[in-house]
Amino acid sequence: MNRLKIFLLCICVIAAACSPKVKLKKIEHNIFGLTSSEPAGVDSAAIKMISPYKTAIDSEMNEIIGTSAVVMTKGEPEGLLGNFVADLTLFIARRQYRPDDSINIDFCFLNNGGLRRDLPQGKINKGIIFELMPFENTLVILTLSGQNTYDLIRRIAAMGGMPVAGIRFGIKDKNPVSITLDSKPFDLNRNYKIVTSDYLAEGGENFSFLKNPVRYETIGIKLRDAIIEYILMQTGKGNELNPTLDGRIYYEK
Amino acid sequence: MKNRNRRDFLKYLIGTSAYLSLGSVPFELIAKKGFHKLTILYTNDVHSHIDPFPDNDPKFPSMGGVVSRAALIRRIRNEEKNVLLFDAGDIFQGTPYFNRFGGVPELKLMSMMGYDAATIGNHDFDNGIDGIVKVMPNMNFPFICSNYDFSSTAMAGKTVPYRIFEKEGIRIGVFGLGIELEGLVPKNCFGKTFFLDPVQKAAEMAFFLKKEMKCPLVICLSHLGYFYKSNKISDHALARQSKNIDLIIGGHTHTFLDSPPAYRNKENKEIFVCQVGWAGLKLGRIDAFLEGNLAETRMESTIETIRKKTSEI
Repeated sequence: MNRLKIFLLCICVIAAACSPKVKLKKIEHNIFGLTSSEPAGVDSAAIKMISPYKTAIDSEMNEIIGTSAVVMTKGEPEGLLGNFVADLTLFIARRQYRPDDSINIDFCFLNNGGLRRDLPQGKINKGIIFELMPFENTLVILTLSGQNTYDLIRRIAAMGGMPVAGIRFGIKDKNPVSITLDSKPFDLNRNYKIVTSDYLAEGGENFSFLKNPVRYETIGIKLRDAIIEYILMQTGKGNELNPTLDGRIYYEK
Repeated sequence: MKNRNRRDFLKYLIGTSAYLSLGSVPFELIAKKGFHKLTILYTNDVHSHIDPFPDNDPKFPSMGGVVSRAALIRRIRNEEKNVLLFDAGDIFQGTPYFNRFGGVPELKLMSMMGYDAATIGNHDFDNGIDGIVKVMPNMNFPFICSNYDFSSTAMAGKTVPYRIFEKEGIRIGVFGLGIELEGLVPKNCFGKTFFLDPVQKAAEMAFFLKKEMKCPLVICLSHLGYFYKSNKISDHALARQSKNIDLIIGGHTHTFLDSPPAYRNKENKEIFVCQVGWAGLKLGRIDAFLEGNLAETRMESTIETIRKKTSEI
C-alpha cells in the first residue's frame, strides 16, 4: 500500500511589465518523494452508480475460459504475448479460411499497440481478453506481391520486431536478414498471403502500403473472438497456455 | 547548490505528512491579503477502467478504480476551496464497460466526480463520431477541442475550442489539442473531422487566453503524446515552441511522469508538462498559489496513486 507522492515546487514570479500585461519572471522547483500506506477510501455514490453496469459486465466477463502457465507480456524483437496471439491468429485463420486457389496463409503479423494488457499467470476470464483486445478488429487475409511483402518485413525489422507467426528472420542494422517461411527462404518473385487485423490492413499505424494489396479477403472473425475460441479449445483439451520465445525474430550479430 | 539546500530544508519541513502542501509556502505569502490557491487535478487515458485492477495483476495489483478515485477527489474537495478537475482524453476503450455500454458509465461517473472539462483522444472515436454524439447526453462537462474541425460532422457545435473557469476572481484559461487522426484512427470512425496544426492552434489559443482574456493561468489539455523519437509533434516539442502556456496536461503515450518536467518555452519562460500514465492508476495534482495582484505564482505538484481499500467491493 505505497502511495507515492512527489512534490514539485516552483515559484513563478509574474511581474507586470507594461501593465496590465502579466509576465512570468522566474520559476524555481524542488522535487520530493514521499510514501504513505493509506488507501484512497471508498466513495459510496460511485459504487451505487457503477453497480448496475458492473452486475451486467461481471455476469458475462467473469467466466473463466482458461489457465495460463506463465505471465505474458509484450516484447521486442519478440515477446510471449505477441507470440501467443500471433500463433493463435494464424492457427484460427488458417482453419477458418477457405481459399479458392487452395493456397493457405503464409504468415501472420499484428501490432504490439493493439495488445492492450498483459496476461496474468493463472486463471483467465473473458474480461481479461476484452481488456487485451478491446477493439472490434476483424481478421483479414491480404495477398501481397513479393516486393510488397518484403517492404512489410523490412518495416517490421525497422520497428525492432512486431508480433508475427509463420515467419522467421534476423534484424541487422534495422534490416531483415535470413528470412524464412515454413523453413523455405523468402522469394521476392511470388505473392504471399498474410493474416492481420483490418485496422492494420487499412493503413493503421501508418502501414499505408498495405492499402493496395493484390487481394483483400475477409473471414468474418474478430481477433478477440479468435483469442477466446483458441483458449477455450486449449482448455477443452486440458492444456494450460504456455507460449515460448523461439527466436522467430532475433538480432543478427 | 542553492536548490539542493532548499530541497533538503523543505523535505524536513514537510516530513512525511501527506497534506502539508501549504507548509512549503512562506507564511508571509499566505498571510497576504488576496492570496489564492488553486488545486488542479487531472487524469489521462483512463480507457474505461472503472474497476480497479485485480489483486493478481502482474503490474498493477489492486490499483486504480473509480470508487477510490472518487473518494480521493471528494476528500481533496473537502480540504480545498478552488478545485478544477480535467482529463486529457482516451476516456473510452479498454474494458468491457465500453464494449457493452459505449461510454455511458464513464461519462456519468466523470460527471458525478465533477470533472470540469476533458479533451478528446483518438480512442474516443472508436465507436465513430455518432458513437460519441450518442453518449454525450450523459456528461455535464464540455469536451474542449481547439484543433479538430468538427463542423462537417454530427459533432458540429457540440465541443468548445476553449473554456475560461473562474475561481475567486482568478481566470483559468483552458484549451485542448487532439492528435493527428489519419493513420491512427480508422477513417470511417473520424469521418469528416479535420485535423488542424496543433502548434499554430496552441499559439492562437494561448495568446487569446493569456493576453486578450487576461488569464494568469493557461492550461493546455493535450492528447498529442509526451515524446517521440521521430519529429512527430508532442508535448515535449510543443512546450519548447510555445508561448503563453503555463501547464500542459497531456496523454496518449501512457507516460508516468511522477514529477512534471519543466521546459523553457520560446520566450525562455518555464512551462510544465504533466501526464499520469493510464487506466486511472494515478491522480495528478497541481497546486497553484497566486497573489491578488497576480504578481507572484507558485506551483506545486503531487501524484496520488489510486489503490482500492481492502474492504472495497
